[in-house]
Amino acid sequence: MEGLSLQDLARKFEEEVGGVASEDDLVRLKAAYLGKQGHLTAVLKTLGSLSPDQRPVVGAQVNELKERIERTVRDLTVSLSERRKSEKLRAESVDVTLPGRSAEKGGAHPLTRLLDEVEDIFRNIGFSVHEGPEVETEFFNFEALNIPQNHPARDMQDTFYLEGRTQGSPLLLRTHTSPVQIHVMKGHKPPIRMIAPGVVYRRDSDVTHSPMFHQVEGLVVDEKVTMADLKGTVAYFLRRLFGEDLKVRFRPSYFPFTEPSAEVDLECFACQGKKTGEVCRICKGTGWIEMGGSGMVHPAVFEHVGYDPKKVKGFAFGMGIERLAMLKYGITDIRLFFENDLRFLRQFS
Amino acid sequence: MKLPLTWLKEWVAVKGGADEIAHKLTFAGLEVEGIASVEGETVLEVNVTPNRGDCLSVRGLAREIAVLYGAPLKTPWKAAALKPSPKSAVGVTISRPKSCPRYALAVIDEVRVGPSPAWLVRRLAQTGVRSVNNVVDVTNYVLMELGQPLHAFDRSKLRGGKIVVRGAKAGEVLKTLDGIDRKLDTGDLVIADADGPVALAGVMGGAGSEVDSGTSSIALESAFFDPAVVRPAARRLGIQSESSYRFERGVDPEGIFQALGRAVSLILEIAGGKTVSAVDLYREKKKPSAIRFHPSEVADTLGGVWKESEVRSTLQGLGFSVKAGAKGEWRVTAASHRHDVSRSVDLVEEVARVRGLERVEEKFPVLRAAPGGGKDFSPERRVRTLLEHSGFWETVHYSFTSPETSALLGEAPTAALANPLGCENSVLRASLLPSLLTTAAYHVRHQMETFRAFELRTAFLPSDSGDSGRPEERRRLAGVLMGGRLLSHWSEGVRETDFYDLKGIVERILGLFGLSGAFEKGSAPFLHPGQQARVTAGGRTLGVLGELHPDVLGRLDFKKPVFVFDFDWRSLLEAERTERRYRDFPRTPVVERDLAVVVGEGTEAGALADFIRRQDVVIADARVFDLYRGGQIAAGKKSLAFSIRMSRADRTLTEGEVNEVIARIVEGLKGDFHAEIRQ
Repeated sequence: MEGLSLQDLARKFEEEVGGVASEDDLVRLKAAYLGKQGHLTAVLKTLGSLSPDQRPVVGAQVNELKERIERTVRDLTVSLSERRKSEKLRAESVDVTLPGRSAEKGGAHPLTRLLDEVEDIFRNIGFSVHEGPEVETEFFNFEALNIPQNHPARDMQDTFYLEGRTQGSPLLLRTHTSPVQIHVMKGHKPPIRMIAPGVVYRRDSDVTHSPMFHQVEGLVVDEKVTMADLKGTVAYFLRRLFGEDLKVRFRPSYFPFTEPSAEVDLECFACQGKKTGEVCRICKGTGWIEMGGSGMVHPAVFEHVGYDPKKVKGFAFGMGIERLAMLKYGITDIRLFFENDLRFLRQFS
Repeated sequence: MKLPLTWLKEWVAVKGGADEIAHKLTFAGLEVEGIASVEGETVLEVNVTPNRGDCLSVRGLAREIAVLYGAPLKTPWKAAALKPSPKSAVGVTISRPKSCPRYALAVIDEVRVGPSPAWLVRRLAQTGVRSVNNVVDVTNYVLMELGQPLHAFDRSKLRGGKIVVRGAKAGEVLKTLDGIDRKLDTGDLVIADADGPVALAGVMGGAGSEVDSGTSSIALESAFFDPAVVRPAARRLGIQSESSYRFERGVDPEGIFQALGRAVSLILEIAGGKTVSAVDLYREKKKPSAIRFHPSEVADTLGGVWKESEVRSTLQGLGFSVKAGAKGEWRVTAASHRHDVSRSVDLVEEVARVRGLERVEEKFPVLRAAPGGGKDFSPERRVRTLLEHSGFWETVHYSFTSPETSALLGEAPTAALANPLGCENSVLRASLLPSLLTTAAYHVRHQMETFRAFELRTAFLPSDSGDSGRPEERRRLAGVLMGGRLLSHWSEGVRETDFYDLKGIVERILGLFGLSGAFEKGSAPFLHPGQQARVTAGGRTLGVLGELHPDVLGRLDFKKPVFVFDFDWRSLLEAERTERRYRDFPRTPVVERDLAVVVGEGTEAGALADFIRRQDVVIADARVFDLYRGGQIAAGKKSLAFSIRMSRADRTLTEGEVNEVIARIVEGLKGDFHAEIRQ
């Protein structure tokens, strides 16, 4: 190498830089020129043997080359490391469309889903939630609710009886959630503001009747409660569930445990009574949907639980959860709820 | 109740068409369920609620329409000229006047029984009644018109020529008009002749005294029978006749003789004959009592403003008498046909019904705080969310099941229904698992072999209080999992569910309650004896988990393992650890050492870990990180590797201290578990 001029050295460096493919190559190249045994270092060592007038000229040329090599190596170092990083990142890339590592999701039953929604609506306006036994005596299911033995109103609810008895009294599966009212009133003083969601049983089975189904019962008892409060509360609930602008109407009816009693109808959320073309399948073209029963608590019920009907008033209402769910989700056969077919359940998750 | 429109309009002159009348009735509490055309006549189908027996007739509904339209009610025929006679041609004795306060009987001779005229047949058809003969048809016509059931006896078939209204005697049997021999009960009220019962009062007549084509003399009955007597007899014998339906709901005691007169004049008109006698036994007049009523009750109950004059005119319009009492109170007496009106709230209802509930505005109650407990639903919601996010579907099964399904796990049902709809729904379930497993089997049959489901619901267990008949209701949390693994991922290939997937789920459930729970080998007969555990907390069993026993799998045709868990919900709630307290934690470095030991297959990892943890206070944790069999490990042995973490709160442990602790653990494991240490 001794014989190489600075120009040749510079040319040689340019050639060799072109062949650098990796950071390792670059380190080696840098050592070959600037290392202790490097070409340029060797040239620098010869400076001392030059004449004093040549020394600064050649020295300046050597320094210039040295700086050029250092600059090139620095630049290359950066670009090579960038390239390495990007290659590594490219190699590490994944198919973002493949499924993540988590458990497959299941879901709540549509009835539970709706019950949760119902509970939340009422809890937000200060109602508590109560439960009661599913196996009841005739006293709680009928008599305390002003449905005496041999009253024709017993025909309204076909009852399942158990083979056993308790303290001589027949046992039955509750036909409505109303007995929970009696349990709560017997244990608490007014004011009362509660709902009782739960399962009930009636001897009936077809496309719209199931021998087991769910109800939610509501009860408010206080010193000054009127039917206007009942209308407002039930209308609020139905609008929250089905649509804020819907009309609610009350039709006089008969339930032994309320008086006055009323059926509650909601304006059809599907057609809103607008008769266009086909007959609405939800309301059968009437513009209204029956939602449940309601009324002012009958004084005889208050007397059964030891309240003075002259001092307190109350209202109660009850609705079928399956019916609400069928309307809300467009389900036409009640039996689907109890078949538990995954292809059905999956639609509500 | 079927209401022919033209018949109605004979009683009340209103212009409205069927739709308008239907709307008025519906919004007064008498729902019109349909409008049909029968024999060219418009007929309203009215759903009469059980309290309104007075509306089970054309006149009754006309009375309502008259009130709602403010139109007069008119009787379309001349009041019958029938006068009560002092003596009856057929002697009548009432031996149970409480059950029969009024009994009227007319005797008509020389009637010609035959077919009815066309108009009568058509009217009956419009109300859904089949024509029999002119005499029977008249009784049915009057029943539909006035709501008073009547019964015609063939006078010649009444033995001894007399009638006794009495209780049935033990062992008496009556062949009713439908030809069935009915065994009577001593509580039943019968109409008897000298020999025995000829009719079951208010329910059905007897075949032996039936009016037929050979009849020439009839005894026509119109009476008030106590609903409390009619209903049990009709229910027990499974008979629901037009008569019993009305007597059960109460007929108008004041209308008995009028109805008899109407029937007599129609029979004379259609079948001829002459009236021999007509007695009316009505000793104790039933008088509706006056109701004390303050008109302010209307506003107190319905809200809003109600004028006294409006309330008064509404009640008077219904035929109620309103008299002034003390302190602004009124004394209101309801009409005799309104058995349902006996309290002041009944009067409020009448006002609401007649004036319309649309008058009542929508308001919110003024709330006072109402503390009173109620249920905390958050644990249920939390566990449902956890299971949902672990791939489980919530199911809802009937509380009743078949005896076969109930016996799937070899357990006896707790309680049976006395009147089930069918045997597939005849016993209450004592466990949620059989229904869950049946649903799992259904999914396998439908090519859905990966199935995870749970149910959180009531099971009915044998009572543990002394009350033997009443099952104990316990909420249970049960689940089933089968098929592919819970966390199976494409990177790991398909793996089948195993016991540890099940245990992982159970651990997560326990974690919700702040519990780690003790898992010990279980002994449930329906589970695989080698793959089941019982979970306890504080010495109390919370539930079980495991793989189904092969025998149970076979019963349901499962080809692959099925895993289940079953927990008592209340026990979980009661075991819940809710207290949270801060404890200081060491900030000194933690030393971690691994230790692999070879032990016999029967040695439980849990026992080894517990042993290690007990060896020194510096041991914070000992956790299994590897289980290995085969290779250099002898048959019947396994290698378990533990990661042991040690620290002191006050200073860093020295190498020597750590080595000393590990040495002690090793010696202990060798001694107590015959463990070999793997280097």
